[in-house]
Amino acid sequence: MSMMGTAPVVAEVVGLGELAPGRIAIQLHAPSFVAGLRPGHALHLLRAEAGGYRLRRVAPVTLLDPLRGVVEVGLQPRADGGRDSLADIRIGERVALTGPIGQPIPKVPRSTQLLVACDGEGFAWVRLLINSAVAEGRSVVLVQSAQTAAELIPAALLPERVEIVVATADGSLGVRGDIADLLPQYVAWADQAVAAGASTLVDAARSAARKHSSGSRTTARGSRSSRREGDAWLSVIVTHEVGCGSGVCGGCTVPTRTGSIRLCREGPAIDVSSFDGGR
Amino acid sequence: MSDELLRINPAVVELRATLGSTRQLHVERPVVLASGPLGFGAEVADLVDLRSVGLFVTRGVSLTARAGGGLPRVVEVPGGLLHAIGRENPGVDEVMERHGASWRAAPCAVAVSLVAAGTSDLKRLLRTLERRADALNIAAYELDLTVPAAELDGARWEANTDAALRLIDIAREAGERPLVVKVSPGAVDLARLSRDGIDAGLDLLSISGSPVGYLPDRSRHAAALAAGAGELSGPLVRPLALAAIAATAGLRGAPPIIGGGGIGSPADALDFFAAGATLVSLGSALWADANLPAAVSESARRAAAARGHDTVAGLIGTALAPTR
Repeated sequence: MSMMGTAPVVAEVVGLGELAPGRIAIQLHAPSFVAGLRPGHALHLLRAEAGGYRLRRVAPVTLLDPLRGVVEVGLQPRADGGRDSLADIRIGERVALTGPIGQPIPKVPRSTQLLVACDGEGFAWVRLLINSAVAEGRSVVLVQSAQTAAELIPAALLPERVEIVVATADGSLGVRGDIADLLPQYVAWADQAVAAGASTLVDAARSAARKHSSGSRTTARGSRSSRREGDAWLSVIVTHEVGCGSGVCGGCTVPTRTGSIRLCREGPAIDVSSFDGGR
Repeated sequence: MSDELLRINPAVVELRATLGSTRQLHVERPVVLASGPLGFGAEVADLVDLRSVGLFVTRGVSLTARAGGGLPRVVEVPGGLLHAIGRENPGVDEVMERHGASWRAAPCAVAVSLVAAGTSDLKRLLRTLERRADALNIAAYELDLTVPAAELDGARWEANTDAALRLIDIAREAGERPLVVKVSPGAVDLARLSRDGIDAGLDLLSISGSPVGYLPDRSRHAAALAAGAGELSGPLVRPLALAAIAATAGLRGAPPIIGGGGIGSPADALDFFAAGATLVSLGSALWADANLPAAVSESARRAAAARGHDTVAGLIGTALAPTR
């Protein structure tokens, strides 16, 4: 069988884990992919459902292990909470995959201070970015929010050097509130910021960035960013879960001031300044 | 199927067909690439071998640009997909500019899918297309009655048979090419649309459109799609489509039918021929299997040969009850 576009590779499942509460991570032995993958990339996974239907599921790359030739991807749950065949996958099974889907998250030149805002949905899209940034010696602050502490991303999934700031709606951990209550304290510090997750989170990040650019320069951290005017410093990651992966079906198109962006080709990260209105 | 069981050589089985009476559509193979999953044209040849296809139907084209819906536009549902692209397209002039050359060069017939929210839009859209249709080698038009109609307060054209027939009539007057009328299995009165549609100018009936669906996002207590309701594709549609096709094909004087909805394998396609489809339409399954068009043709050849037919037409309607 041939998938549309690039030729598929069949990879063995070599590990399974939990990426965030209720969200599955699948480790695949796919050495031919490892070298070409960067933060922001996804793969398309293909496995037949019980009725034989095959879809191309977007699975963001969450970790890379070049020595073992292993790629970890996050499985995005179905919106209605239902489980598909990938949710029941077992170690030793084989999955057809193709990619990479999308473009790497652009790095702001000379960036040393990275702010990441995400929720459980967005974490899969930024985990590799966080790890890569720490490995490069950049300072990283992760601001995350959830309804309650049990839904937060476990700190054990992150490098020790990442500063984690949390908000919970019920006040069970961190600040009572949501990400909009935390971000204003950190945007001045960062020389690059990436927001990934639900539209409310992304909107909060955009709002904080706008307010910052027009007003206060106070920061919760000691050092002020060296950001320059004109830097594409805030990127938002708009998630998508299924589609053609070739940029032709229109399933992941986002209108921007400069034209439409196809998340599977030009995305998933979009420079926030390119938006011409609300998302 | 082993070769010993074949009553004639599959290689001699005729795949070509000429459809319609007054305005004829000639296809080399009984396989249609449905409007939507594969774009407008320029990209398609890189994704699927069009030599294995009879008719490529473009994504929906409107008179002026349509921005489409918000994200999420596509989500999974049990047994398929739910989508609400909103017929996003850059408008007919730009589509012809960007993709016309690929239509001209295509090794299969090309139909342009028409998106019309109103009757005046449709007239102007068709006039615009007709001016370049010969040069661009447009073989047919697909009038999509699953598009929301302004005059029906956003309901689909297919939800009101009178309005749908008026639209067909207008399309017939404005366009010279064979007219494929697309509906979903949820069309309100397929029997009347089929019968009276021929008088109004329909040449082929495509029962391959997506019925309406809805999926809740339980974690957000909202619709999973930004648009709220959407269109269903995939295997969950297949039984609905087969029932609608069989009911329509069994009518006396029924037009040739393009059948589709959740075809994911050659065996599925044979079911559609048996239900009465003359051509079968492939959609989102192509994302996972680019060779499906060729496999469907080959399977149809072998199935026809096994039954002693020298044309794929011998497979059509074999599961139907005697004509009423």
